[in-house]
Amino acid sequence: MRVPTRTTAVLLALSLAAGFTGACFAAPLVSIDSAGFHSVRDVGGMSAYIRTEPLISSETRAAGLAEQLFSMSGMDVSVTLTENSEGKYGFVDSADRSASFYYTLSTGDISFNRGTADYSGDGDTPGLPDNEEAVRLALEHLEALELLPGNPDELVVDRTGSLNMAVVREDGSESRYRKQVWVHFKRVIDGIEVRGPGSKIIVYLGENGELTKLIRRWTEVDTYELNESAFISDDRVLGKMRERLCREWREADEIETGAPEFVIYDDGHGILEPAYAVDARVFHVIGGKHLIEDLSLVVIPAVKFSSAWYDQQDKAESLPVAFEL
Amino acid sequence: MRRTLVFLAVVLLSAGLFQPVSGYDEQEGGYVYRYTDPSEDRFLDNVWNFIKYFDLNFDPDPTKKYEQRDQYYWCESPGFDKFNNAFLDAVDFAYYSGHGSPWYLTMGPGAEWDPNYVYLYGSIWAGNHKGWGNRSMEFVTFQSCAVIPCPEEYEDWYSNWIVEPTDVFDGLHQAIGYHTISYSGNGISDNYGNRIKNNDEAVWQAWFNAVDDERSGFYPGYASAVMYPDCDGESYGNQVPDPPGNHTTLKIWYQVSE
Repeated sequence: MRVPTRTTAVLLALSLAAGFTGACFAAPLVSIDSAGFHSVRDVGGMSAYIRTEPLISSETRAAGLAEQLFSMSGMDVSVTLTENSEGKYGFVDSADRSASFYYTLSTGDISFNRGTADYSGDGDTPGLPDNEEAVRLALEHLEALELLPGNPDELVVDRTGSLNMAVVREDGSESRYRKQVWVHFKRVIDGIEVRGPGSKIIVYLGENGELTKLIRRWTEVDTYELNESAFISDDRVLGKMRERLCREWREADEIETGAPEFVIYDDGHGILEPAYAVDARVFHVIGGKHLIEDLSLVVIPAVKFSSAWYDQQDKAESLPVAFEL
Repeated sequence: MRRTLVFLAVVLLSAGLFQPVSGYDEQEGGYVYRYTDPSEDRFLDNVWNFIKYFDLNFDPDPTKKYEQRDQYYWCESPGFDKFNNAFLDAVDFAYYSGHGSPWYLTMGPGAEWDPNYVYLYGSIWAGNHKGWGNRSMEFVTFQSCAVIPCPEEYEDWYSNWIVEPTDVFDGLHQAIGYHTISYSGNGISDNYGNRIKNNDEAVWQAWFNAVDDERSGFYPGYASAVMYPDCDGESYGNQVPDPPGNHTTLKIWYQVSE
């Protein structure tokens, strides 16, 4: 089923308030262009995703991987992981405190950086690969480390970029340098894009294509079909999205989005589930003096009984105090 | 008298009081965009999830009002500019979350002082309070949009930070944030706090890593960090001596998407 095309929903603040918050006194003006909206029923993907055993499933294996990563990037480092919190381990090299390795037991998340000390001098890094070569080398490194996803077809290049440095000197001269390049792989499962902090691999490459940094947050999942009744109805999608937009951007003046896109949301904590996402443009007038535009990824669950962690951080347990001059 | 001073200097040096390396008995400060309604409270959660890693001492002893005390304040412009020595510049590691744009911070619609914004070009310098770092601050992090522009957007990316007399860097080591629009309300500040406090990871690198850990496409934006060049490899627990207040050299690291 499709929501009628060309239905541009522009809701005024007070009507929004009456609709779902009851206390929304000065809610933003929300405009959702629903043209092109495709629900879960249009695109398929009526699935549940149950995670399987992490690729790296023990602290010992993680430490071994860390030493392999440092070795591959030209560093001879002995790694001793410290448990920072339950199931989360960290290591920083005492000789170069920008050289680090982190590992999460429950998800198998890896965050590695070989350190920037060797890259912090003046000059471009020699032998940096171009974008096409960078993708090829990144895949080679992942294969050598046995860190490619179980289904490599799910691994899709999202974008490429670089880590740059510039300096201005006492004599006023200025130089700009290209120090590393990176490749960001996203995940697509059965044609549906995965959004959220999980389901991605980012590979940084340095001199002559050496591996300099790796972030791997990729939970392997088994897929199960869900009954249609597990999903929220199509006619509630726009309303729920407006509600979420209004809650997240309560103090904005205007919010504009396209149609909610059916996606899979990976909360980065081991849960993948069907969801709807928009890229919202948010406008603020601060004190009547300054206009600020934000870009925001806003996601709502497509299933009635959601278990993903959309808030992504703990609530503050104490409040700040006012300045006393 | 002169001999006495020399003797005292030798004693102080030998006691290690002038050693460059600092530790976690330093002061940290969290500064939260002051909203008018608690429904948009990610800025509060952002700051709290960073400062929660530190053993904060909010000693109410008035004799210690601006000394040996951590801070956790709603944003007000005087604490950032006119009286920065007593507030932001009285801590070693400051963490701000709120709206921002190039060299610009908002204090929030709930801020009581006018103006409710801070321009980092020109307005934070205030007589003896100068910019940041002449008192105490070594590191400041802006979890906000675009406060730290890079050469991609501004040819003159450095002047507002270092050109006297109204510059920001008056002993400050590193200023860290984004050069693009950024969306917060994610796990970055928690991740960053863990890296800084539990592992003593190098500061700007910890921020860039935390940002990439959370990345989903463009979000949360692209990181940038400006610093006195000698401070490049510093962690919170392993620092070089404070930069001079009047230097005119600066380094910036920044991520770029192509």
